[in-house]
Amino acid sequence: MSRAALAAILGTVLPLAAQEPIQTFRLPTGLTCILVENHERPLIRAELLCRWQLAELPAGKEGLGGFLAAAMAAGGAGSSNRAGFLRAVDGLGATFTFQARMGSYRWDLTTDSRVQEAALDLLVDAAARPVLDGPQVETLRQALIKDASRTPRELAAARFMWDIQDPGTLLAPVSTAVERIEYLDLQDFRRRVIRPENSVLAFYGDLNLDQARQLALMHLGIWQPSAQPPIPGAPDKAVPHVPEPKLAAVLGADPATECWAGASRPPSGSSPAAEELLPWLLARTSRTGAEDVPLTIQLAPEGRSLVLKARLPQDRRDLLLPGFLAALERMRRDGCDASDLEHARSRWRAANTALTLHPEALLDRLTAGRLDPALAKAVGDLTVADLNQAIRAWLAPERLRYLLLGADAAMVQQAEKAGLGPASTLGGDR
Amino acid sequence: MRAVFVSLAIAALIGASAPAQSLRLPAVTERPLRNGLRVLVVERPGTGAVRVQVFIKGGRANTGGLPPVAADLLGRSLFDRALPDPVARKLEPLLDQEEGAFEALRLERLARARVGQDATLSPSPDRQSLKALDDRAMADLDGQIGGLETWDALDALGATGRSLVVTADYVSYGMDLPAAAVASWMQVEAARLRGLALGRFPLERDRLLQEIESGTPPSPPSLSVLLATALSGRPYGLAGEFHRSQVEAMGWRELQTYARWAVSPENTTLVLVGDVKAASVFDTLESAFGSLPRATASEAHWQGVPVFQAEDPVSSLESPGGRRLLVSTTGDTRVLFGWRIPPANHPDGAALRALVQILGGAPSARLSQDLVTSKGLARRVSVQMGVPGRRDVNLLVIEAEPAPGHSLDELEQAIEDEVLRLQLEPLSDLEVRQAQTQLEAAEVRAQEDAGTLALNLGAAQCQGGDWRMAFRALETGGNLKPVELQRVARSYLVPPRMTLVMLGPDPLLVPLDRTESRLLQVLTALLRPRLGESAQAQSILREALRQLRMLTPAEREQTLKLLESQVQK
Repeated sequence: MSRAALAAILGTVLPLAAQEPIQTFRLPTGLTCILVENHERPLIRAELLCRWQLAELPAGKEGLGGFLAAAMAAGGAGSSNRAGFLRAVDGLGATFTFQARMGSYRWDLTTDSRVQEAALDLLVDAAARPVLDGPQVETLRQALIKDASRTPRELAAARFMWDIQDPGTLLAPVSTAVERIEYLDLQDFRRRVIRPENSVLAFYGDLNLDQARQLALMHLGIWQPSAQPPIPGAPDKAVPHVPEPKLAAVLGADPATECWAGASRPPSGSSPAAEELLPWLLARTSRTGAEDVPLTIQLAPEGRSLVLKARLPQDRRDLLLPGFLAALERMRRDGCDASDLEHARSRWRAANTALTLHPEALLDRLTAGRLDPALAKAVGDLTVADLNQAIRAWLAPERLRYLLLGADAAMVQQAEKAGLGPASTLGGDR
Repeated sequence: MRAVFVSLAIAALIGASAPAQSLRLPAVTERPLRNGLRVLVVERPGTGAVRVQVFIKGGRANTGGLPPVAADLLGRSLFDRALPDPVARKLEPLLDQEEGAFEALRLERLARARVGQDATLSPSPDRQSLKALDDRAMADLDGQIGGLETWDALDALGATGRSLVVTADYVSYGMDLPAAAVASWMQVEAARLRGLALGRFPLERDRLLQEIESGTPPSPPSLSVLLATALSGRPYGLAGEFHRSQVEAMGWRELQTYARWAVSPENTTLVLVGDVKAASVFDTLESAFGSLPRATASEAHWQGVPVFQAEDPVSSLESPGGRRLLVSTTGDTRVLFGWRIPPANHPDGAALRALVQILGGAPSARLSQDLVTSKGLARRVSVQMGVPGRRDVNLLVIEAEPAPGHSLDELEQAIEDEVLRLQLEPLSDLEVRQAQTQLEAAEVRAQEDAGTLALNLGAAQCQGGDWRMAFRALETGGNLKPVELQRVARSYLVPPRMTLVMLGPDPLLVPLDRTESRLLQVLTALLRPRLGESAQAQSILREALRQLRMLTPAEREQTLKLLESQVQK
């Protein structure tokens, strides 16, 4: 595999080189495998990403995805308890992480290639053979219900991210639903969503295609798709669906007050190509300042949610909301021009080329399917009108949700008067 | 079966027959330019991109008489965006005007504070005109810089992943570039280091002030307490101090004088990792950076002997006896242990790193297992050395946050027990070799990402004078013995070198829970008849509530009931 060919694919809209640097294959079980070779160091990085749909969550049990993640993160794997599992990973000098996001679970392993067999075995244990110990799950449930570890601010932020379906946020269990989730729900949900045909395994490092095939087959070949438990219907005691207010506020005398606005991916008016360029364009917009209110803007990695944040010290918080709303309006109104588009496009290409220097980011984009040459072509074909349409679709006022952190009653009233409310508030009396 | 498989793999990995040649140092080509600027290059042919990282040795602990925040302001003003030199020169009158107005406003605020007047009440006509002058200067600066910043010269070259790091030892700025843009970057960067344009200073000063006011200064206040006590009188003692008054008192002319002294070629290291050829890139670097002038004595506003001594006397490791501080906070609850340890280039450095690894370097390390997993005393525990830097005597720090229902005293006791165990019970060969394996693996992993590698190389060069310091475990090749680690634990992790800081909410202002709130009421009722509302009464109350925090929740409830019965009598 040629690194130069990889660089060419990553950085330009050139068609795939004859010798394909990103090699893919599929196991009979349906597991998709990707390999990027690099033999400079005796290291292997493996990332197993399992995707699921929000529609797979049973009605009234929306905390299930987060609860399962917490149970897997605290539990053992294979024949080991948690402590034994961690000792085995550390003993190999490997690193292991597990992350749960909205709609996906991800297991990452980095290991010395001399112990790749043992290390990959641990990865597979964690993903396909987690130990969900009944009493431990109950203890965890009690802890989640008390939610002692999270402040009102953290809870409100988690709820906000849930509401905009942000895939880039670590999935936190929603405590209100945890009481309704039974042990069998966890087992069924795990069997339903953690499946080879829903997953991608990406390797980076000191192994060739034959070795990668052999490793994948040896360790994951026996991970067969089992019978998929059906998604349960609504619980016997129907849980009424109450739409969340668009405006939430956490009251408090924090040193700084924050204002967030966010939206999930618009149903129309935006495209994956536009979403590739939006972070670059919006970063430019935020840098120009906004009525004395510095903004930071995040577009989630998979282009499925947008979060805009502004923060001011408490003594200036009366300026925050007007400045923030004015900045949003200006972004909607002004959009971008041809020069902005060209800058954003060239920086997007440069950032892709630079992925050859950052293996972890490279694997993230590969498993997210964001290094597709067709996407590069679509980015090349984008027009200013396409982008401005996407900006307006993302920032449409009727779709935005707002969160005020460290606010006071006057600020909440200000927001309600501005048409963002009515508000749900946490922490303190109004 | 799987456990056997893993055990065999571990044995193979740490066995003496492991192929040592497969774990190697990165291939770094190193050369100084003719003006003393040091360059480190790691070739990664075919990547099509290069990570470039500029290091200015000095950092927060070496600001030549200015407060540590000067390093942050220098880094942000100089590196955050690239200002063209001609534009920067045009900004100087505006900067002078803004500095004058800002300083006059500051003095006016101080004068009012001295006579006890609130500066926000009934502003004087002078104040109003000064404020208007300052606002106008800021608006003019913003207008001139804002448009240029939207896309700066580095954006135009395709720079991405731009990041600024400011530590006690260095200021560093880095970015990813397309390989074809590296030569152009050299011109932009050399012009920036030559011109030292600080036109962004007032904007960055205001942003930093906002961060400090918002409770998010560049270094956490808890660390500042530890450093000021544990390293009092040493260069790192004040490296965590970030006060509003320090930022407000700094002018751009003063910062520029500091910049001229600090950003000299002798203090600068460039690291390039990626698609460059060392054989040819040095010539280009020489022509771009080789003509940067060395600092002259007249520009160095900091006279005197160098702060940092490679061979520090052992006595400097000793603090004036172990210290224990109780700090009242508005909510932050944690315990910090800090032991004085020697600079990075000390012979005991490798053994100290292995100790840190054994204590808290991995999820299954002793403290993580004991405090978090087994006993459930802590929500989080971390162990670090080189706090806040590694060029001078620094700290090995254990930091832990109690789990709900557990007190700081329980945590303190558990951590002390674990440290004592390290000193008294022999370490097993297996544990030491596993720690070494983990450290070696971490050093190999650190070579994978170009950004991490560049940062580690430059940091080691600034902190220890040699980039190889970043790969000490690979260099030593697993020669550490358990007895050596125990000697080091007995030498350094001892009470005379220790400072303990316990941060907890003030029991009078922020009671922990309902029980404490009720205890406060009951104790107040009991003490008031005898001591009234005196400061002494407050102090006794505070101490009593702190002592009660050492009890379990059930015991506290029981104590509350007993005290309530006394009140009712």
